[in-house]
Amino acid sequence: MMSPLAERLPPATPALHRTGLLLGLALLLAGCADMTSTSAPRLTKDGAAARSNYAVTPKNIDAVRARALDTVNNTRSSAGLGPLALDGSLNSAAERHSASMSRQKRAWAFGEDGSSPIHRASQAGFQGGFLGEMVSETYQSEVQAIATWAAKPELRAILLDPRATRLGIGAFQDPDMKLWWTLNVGQ
Amino acid sequence: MWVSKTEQEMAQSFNRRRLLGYGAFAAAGLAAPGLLRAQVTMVQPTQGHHHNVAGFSAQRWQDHFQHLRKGAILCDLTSRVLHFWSEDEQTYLVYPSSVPRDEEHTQLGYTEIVLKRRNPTWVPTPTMRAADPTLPASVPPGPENPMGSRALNLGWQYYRIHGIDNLDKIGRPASSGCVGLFNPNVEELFELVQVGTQVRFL
Repeated sequence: MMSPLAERLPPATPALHRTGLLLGLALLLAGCADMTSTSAPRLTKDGAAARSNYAVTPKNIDAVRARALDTVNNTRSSAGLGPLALDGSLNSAAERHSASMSRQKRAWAFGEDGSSPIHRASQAGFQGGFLGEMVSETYQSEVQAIATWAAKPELRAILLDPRATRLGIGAFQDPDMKLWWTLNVGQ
Repeated sequence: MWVSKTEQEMAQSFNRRRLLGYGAFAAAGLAAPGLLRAQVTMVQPTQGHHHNVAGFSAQRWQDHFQHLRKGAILCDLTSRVLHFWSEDEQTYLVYPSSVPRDEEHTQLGYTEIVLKRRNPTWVPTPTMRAADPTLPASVPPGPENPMGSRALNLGWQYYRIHGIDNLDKIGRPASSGCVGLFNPNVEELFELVQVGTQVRFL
């Protein structure tokens, strides 16, 4: 499910050979995207990307999802609400929609096939009740995407739906590092 | 954790916010009052980062209508989506829609379909023509018609659910109060609704 991410990201290492060690070191210091790490990319204390090239890869998506889950659950906990658990079907639906938004170059709820979030969740095998979806087109981290959603009342209501128990998170990254985030909530 | 501030940081941050007041936050495009009320905030959106965001809320007809006689249409202007439930509940449709461009043009509440029109002629309202005197008195059916291929007149004067001339309007705040759908979608909806079908603009 995750392979398109890796294939579409620019390779970091060939540049080192072509341009010599000094430039290579400079690139390393500037923070080349690490395509092999299973850790989520580093954040500042505000939850923003610590480096300009924030890479979400097939290797680190699990760590990114875990961090997103923590962020959502911390937000819910501070509002007196119970935690959500990651859901494989909702993850798949979110993943599919992130890729679709990249193709459409548009952050919105509908797929290029006209599919609604409810339809996609159902197609991905989600058996529960679908509650809502949030999307973001940004160069920023999942944590900052969630913070931005949480600051908008109409989106905050989805994040803080008292009925919610399940969470899906999808990412797709363009070659220029732009991220298309999708977050699905269900019960 | 990654995003948790220490209690001291949170207290400082909260006090600073209280000093700034909500006006300063609104001006800076920062936290909504809900976050301030919660007091324990995990992370704030950082200024200067661009996020193009959108949201979709699922809807149950029972939360909006007493019954489904003649079916029901819910236009969620926040999610920019039209929901339709048929009387027998066998058909449930979710379509993206255009929505009113601002609050001044936004009518909320309950109405119903009062007239169904195929290939409608578009007649700009007096307000539209006053605002833009170059508008024609009417536009015949065809690809240039802002009502698209179908129009469902609502009980509110001048308000319609209709098709579209410009696909870019769908999913965006682009109308003078109406809800526009892709033409194939409004054509499908047209066959499923009748005069008297309930409509809510939410």
